[in-house]
Amino acid sequence: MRAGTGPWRLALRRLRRDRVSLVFGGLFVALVVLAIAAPLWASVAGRGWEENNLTGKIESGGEQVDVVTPEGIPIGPQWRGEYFLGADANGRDVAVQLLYAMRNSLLIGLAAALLTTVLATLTGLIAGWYRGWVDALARSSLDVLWAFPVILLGVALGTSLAIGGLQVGPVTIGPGSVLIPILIIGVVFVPYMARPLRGRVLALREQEFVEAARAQGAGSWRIMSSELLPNIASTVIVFAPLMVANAIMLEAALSFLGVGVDPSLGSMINEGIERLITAPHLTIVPGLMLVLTVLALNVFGDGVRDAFDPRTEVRVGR
Amino acid sequence: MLVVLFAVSVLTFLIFNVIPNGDPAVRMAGKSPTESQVEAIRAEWGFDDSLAVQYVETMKNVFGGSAISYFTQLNVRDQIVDGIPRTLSLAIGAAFLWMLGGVALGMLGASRAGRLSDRLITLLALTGVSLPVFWLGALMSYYLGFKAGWFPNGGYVPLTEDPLDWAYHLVLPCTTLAILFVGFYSRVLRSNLLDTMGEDYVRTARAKGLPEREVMRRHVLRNSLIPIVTLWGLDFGAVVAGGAILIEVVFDLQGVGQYAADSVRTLDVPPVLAVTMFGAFFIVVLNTVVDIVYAALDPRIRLT
Repeated sequence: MRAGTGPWRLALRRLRRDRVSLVFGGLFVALVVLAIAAPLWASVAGRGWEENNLTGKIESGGEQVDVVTPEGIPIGPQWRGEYFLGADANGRDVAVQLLYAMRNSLLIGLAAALLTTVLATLTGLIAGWYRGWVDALARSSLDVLWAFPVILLGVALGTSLAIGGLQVGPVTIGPGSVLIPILIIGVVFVPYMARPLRGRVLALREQEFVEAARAQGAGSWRIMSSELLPNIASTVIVFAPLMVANAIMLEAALSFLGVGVDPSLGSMINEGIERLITAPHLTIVPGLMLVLTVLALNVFGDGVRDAFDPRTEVRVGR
Repeated sequence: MLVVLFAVSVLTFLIFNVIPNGDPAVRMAGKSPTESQVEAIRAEWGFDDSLAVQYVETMKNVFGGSAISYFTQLNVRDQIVDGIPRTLSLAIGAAFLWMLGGVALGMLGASRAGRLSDRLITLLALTGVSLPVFWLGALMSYYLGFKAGWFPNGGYVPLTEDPLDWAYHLVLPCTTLAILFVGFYSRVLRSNLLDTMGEDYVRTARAKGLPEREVMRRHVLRNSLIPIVTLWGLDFGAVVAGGAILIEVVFDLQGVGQYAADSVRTLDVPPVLAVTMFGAFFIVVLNTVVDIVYAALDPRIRLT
C-alpha cells in the first residue's frame, strides 16, 4: 500500500475484499435487472400483469386444468413460461405481476432514498453551518417530523393524496402516481439522515481547514460545497443503502395497508394473506422477493459501512 | 415539547382537511344525499366554519374527551382507552423479548468476533431486519397458529380476564415484532462491545489483574449498554406510537394502532387526530425520559 492512499481508495479496496457483501451487492443488481426486464418476461409468459384469466385452462401434469377453479382457487407455480409462479385469484400471472411490482418498489425505494439524501444533506449542511435561528428552525421541523409515528404519517399522507392527488401550483399529480409514495417516503425519512449529518457538520466546522478556507475569503456556499460536502460524503454513502432498504420496506408496508401504487409487493402480500389457506404461494412469493431485495441491500450496506469505518474492524484475540 | 405537539396537531389537521378533495359532510351523508342533507350535516358538525375554528373545536373535543368519530359515531377517547392496554401489552412484551435476544446475540457475536459463527450471526441478524413484519406475522399466524395449532390464530384476551390466555395470545405477535428488532439491537451491541473492549480503561482493568468476567461485567457491558438503553427507549416509544400498527392489523389485536389504521383509511379526522396526538405525546415524553436516563447512566454527561 503506497503511502498517501486516499480514504476513498482504501475504502474501495476494503470493500473489494469483502466477498459476502459483493455477492449480495451483485444480487441486488441482478434483481434490478430482473425488474427492468419485466415486459420481456411478460411476452414470454404470454400475458401482461393486469390480464385476468378467470375461465382459461392450461395443461398441467398432462391434463387440462382450470387456471382458477370455480371455488376461486388459482393454480400454483408451474415452473414454465406461462404461469411460472402460478396464478392469482383473477387468473393473472404471478411472475409477471411480481416483476412489475418489483419495478415499482425499486423505483419508489431508490427515488425516495435519493430525495431523502438530497433534503437531508441540504438541511444538515445549512443547519450545521449557519446555526442560530436557522438551525433552531431546522431542528424543530425535524423534531416535528420525528415525533410523527412514521407509518401513521405515511398512511395519513398517502390516504389524503390518494383520493385527490396533489396540486402544487401548476403541477398536478394524479392519485395513482408513483410520485406520491416517493414524496411521502422521501420526506418522512429526512430526520433520520439529517440529524447525524448535522452533527458531522457541527464537528467539521470547527476544524482548521474550514478556518483556512474562511481566511482565504471563501463564502458560506463555497465552504459548504467544496469543504464540508466532501467530508460528509462518506457518511452519506454509508447511509445510502440503508435508506433505500428502509424506503422499500416502508413502501411495502404502506401498500399492504392499501395506500400505495399498483402493482406492488405489499398489496400482493395483502391479497395473498386472504388466500393463505388455499394458495400460499400468493403470499410466500412476493414476501420472499421483498426479503431478498432488502437483505441484499442490508448486507451490501453493512459491507460499505465496514469498508469506510475500520474502527469496527474486528480485532480477534486480546 | 409543547410546540412540537402543537405543530403535530396542526399538521395532522391540515393533512386531512386541506389536501383531500373529499368533503366530510358529503362522505357522511351516505349515498346520493340531497343538498339540504349535506347542509344540515355541515352545520351540525361545524364544517362550514373556518379552518381555524374547526381546528379549535376539534382539539377541544379531543382533549375534553367528547370527540366522536365522523364514521362510527363512537366516542374516540373510549376507543383509545380500550386499545391502550392491548398496544402496551404488545409493545412491552416485544420490547422485553428483543432486549433479551439482542443482548444475548450481541454478546455472542462480540465474543466470537471475526469467526464464522459471528458472521453467521450477523447474517441472521440482517435477515431478521429484512423481514417485513406483516408478512412474517401472517406466516407465523398461519403456520404456527392455524395449521400447527400451537398458538391461537390471532385476537386478544385481556389480562384481567385470564392472564395465561393473555400471554398465550401474545406470544406470536410479540415474537414477530421482536425478531425485527433483535437483529438491529444485536448488531449495535456487538459493535459497541467491540469498541469498548479496545478502550484504555478496559486494558487498565485487565492489567490490574481483574478476572475477565469482572472486566466484562463492570466495565465493558455497562458502558456498551448505555446507548442501547437510549435506543430502546426511542424504539419503544415508536412502537407504541405507531410501529405496532402492522402487527395489530395482522393479528387482529384491536389496539390503538389498528384503530388508527382503520380511521385513517376512512379519513376519519377526530380519531386520527387523537391517536396521532397520543402517539406524538408518547414519543416526545419518551425522548425526554431517555435523555434523563442517559444523563443518569453516563456520568460524563452530567458534568457538562
